[in-house]
Amino acid sequence: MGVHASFSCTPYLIGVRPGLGEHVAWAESNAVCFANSVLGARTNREGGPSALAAAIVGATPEYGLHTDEGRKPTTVVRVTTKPRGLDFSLIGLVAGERVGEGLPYFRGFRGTEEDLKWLGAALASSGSCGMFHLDGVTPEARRAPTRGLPSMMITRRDLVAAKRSYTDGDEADVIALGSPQLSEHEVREIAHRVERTPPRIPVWVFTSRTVRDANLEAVGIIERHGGRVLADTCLEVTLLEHRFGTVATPSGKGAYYLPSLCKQKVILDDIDRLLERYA
Amino acid sequence: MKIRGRRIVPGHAAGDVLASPVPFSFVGGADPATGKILDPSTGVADERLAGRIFAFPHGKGSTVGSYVIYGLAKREVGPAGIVNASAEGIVAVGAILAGIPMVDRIDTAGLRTGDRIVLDGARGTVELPGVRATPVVTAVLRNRGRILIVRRSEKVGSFRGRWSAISGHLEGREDPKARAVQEVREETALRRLSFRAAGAPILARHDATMYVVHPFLFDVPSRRVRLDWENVEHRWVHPGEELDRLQTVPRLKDVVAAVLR
Repeated sequence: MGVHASFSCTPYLIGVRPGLGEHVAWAESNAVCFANSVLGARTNREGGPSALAAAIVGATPEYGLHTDEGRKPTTVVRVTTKPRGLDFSLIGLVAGERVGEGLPYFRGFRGTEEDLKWLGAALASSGSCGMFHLDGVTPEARRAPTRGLPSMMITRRDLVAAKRSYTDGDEADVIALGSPQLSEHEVREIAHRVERTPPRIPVWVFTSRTVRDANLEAVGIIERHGGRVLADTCLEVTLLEHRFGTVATPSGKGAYYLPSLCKQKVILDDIDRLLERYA
Repeated sequence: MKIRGRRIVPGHAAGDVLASPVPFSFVGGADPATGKILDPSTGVADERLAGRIFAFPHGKGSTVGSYVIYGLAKREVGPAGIVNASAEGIVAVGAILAGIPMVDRIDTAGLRTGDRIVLDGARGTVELPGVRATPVVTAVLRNRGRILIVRRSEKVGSFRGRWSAISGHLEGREDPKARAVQEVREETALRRLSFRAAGAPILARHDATMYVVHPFLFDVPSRRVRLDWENVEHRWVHPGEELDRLQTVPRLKDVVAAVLR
């Protein structure tokens, strides 16, 4: 079938976007969740080897999220607060813990593709969700049956509690942005903010090589202010522990994995607040 | 006792159970070099996977998990077998690659760390030589959104004073549903039951006894209950939080959830 070496966990940000109803076999939990939920493509949560096997034989087992039945929601999750920024990661962390291997149908908020990227990545980390619906936003939400499903609520208080429970560090050595890799818009936005309020600790940005190579000006700004823009990897799979002890990040997925994978203490907070705090 | 599940990876394994009550991610959850459990929410952090039969409800988290399982086996620090309630693709693929015998559709909440267990992957069964199975039926009775719970008397053989649904022992080869109907008649004198649902057996563990609970849901037309000697008090409650506040028999909430969903 051919190989395209993009070395990215966010292929959907750089032009690999299967369409509504298209069957694919993806590994990488955030990309699986995004493809199913936001694009309406169909893939199970493949482990790396089974995704590679599918690429070799050109077929994937027909079960779970490939079937209409497997895409039906199992729980209605009503969010009673208007989320912004970090809140999308927090909603994902809380919902993932509570629904486990279920398929949540969210109500009560809206979000951009980038917002849903953060939500899905966190959801797929604390839970084993490969998909969610968001009322009025995601393409299959309108036809998803929700009648008679158990429901739960996520309030502002839950989000505050989640932020606190994933934060165990006091002073950060580095601000790390990624997990999943940042989009072009997000890299430019960070460059803009770093230029406006130069940070006193390094800002490490993780993105795809496609985005990095197309935004050399933004990369230059971030690196001139003591940061790094790294491609082909992400924050929880680099050897952060060789250099740092405490990482500040707005990524729910990052906060979930950093303590165990990189032996880091974590400060989970909004990027604006972090840049302000470490100005 | 022997429990029948579903075959995922063939092969035999025997050893001690390492049980996590919560879903598990091999990425971040276990040290890939040593097989030591890292995730504190499992309650078995610092235990090692090597030689153990690892039981957890289902996989979660990163899709890199398959590689981690394979890596653990390569370094000979991986589990000797895996038992899940539901096999997730990532764990299943890892176990297949690594050749780790695996069975799913086993209610892992019934297993305890330290239990001696024999796993037969090809047959999809696990055997617990040190545990005795006691099959029971539990009838959840529903009337206008509330369910009946009863407090067990001091004269019954087990769980005296605890809250329960209507239940009784299953003898020999008798039909579980017929036994459930019979128990309802004896213990409540309620008539005209409408059968609504049967759930997969729940394993409720009490020391060396495993209660294999066959759950049933019936709608009843009346809340007028006449108790026999087995129970001393009854209440019609909303399923859910109300059960959390009471001293119940093991896993009553899961038994109720198994038929109400």
